[in-house]
Amino acid sequence: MRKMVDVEVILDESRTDPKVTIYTKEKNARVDSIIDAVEKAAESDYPMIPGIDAERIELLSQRDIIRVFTEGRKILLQTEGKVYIVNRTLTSLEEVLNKDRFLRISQSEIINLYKVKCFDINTAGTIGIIFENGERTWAARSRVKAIKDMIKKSI
Amino acid sequence: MSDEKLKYMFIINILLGAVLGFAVWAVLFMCGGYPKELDRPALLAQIIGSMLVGVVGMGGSTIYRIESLGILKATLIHYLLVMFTLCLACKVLGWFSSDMLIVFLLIETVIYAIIWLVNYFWEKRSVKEMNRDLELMKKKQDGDRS
Repeated sequence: MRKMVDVEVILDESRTDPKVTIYTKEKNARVDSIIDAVEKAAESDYPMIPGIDAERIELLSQRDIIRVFTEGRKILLQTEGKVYIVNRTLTSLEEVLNKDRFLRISQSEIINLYKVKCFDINTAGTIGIIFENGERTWAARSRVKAIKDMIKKSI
Repeated sequence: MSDEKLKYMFIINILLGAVLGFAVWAVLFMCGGYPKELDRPALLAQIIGSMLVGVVGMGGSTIYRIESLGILKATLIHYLLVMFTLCLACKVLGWFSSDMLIVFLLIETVIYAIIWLVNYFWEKRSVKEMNRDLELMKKKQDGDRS
């Protein structure tokens, strides 16, 4: 059976995290699906989060989560298309969410920094966060430094 | 900030304010800011008045730690608290004439406005930098994917 992909592993003690380099003639759908598969495998250290939507439980990939927030007594999890109820506390979710991606921005909200489109500020001096899907939220003043530090760390 | 920490900070600020108020009175007294012929009750009233202004100013500054209020509301509340206390102290203890009091309050208003503006523009610049760094972060992510 002809191999679809050649895989070569090079051991490098200077690397803490693996780096995958793909040599290809052109970037096409097959290459995209290889990238997706590698990224999914890399994120398998981070558990999927069960969310409840209309009495159905769905397992959600952390990459798809925009934010997790409280509303009344409920913990809600928002993805691109839907909002799910989560039967966990924000603190327990904070422990399992990828710390390189998710950040607590207030007492009642955790966001996925990679889903943020931009920041702004209003006349009251509050820093707003606008997500790629158009949703908006506010960052607590005490968390702004942590947001800046996390962005700088990711550059 | 948790409620426990907020209460603790409030108490510390009140105590600091009282000490500061007393210190200001002491310096003014030594510099001849008070008439020498003040009797004991009047002197005590001056000391308490000065300490009260310190308590309201410093203790009131705890309001900036209440994040749900927002910086603008916190500034307005603190400004009104300090203004009201000063006016009351001036009226009861005769610190300034009415004209001088108006001038003093105008100066206080300008100072608060300047502090607020400086704060606002500083935060605005900070947001600009955050957006720039966010773009770089996303370009790096796209670069890693491509």
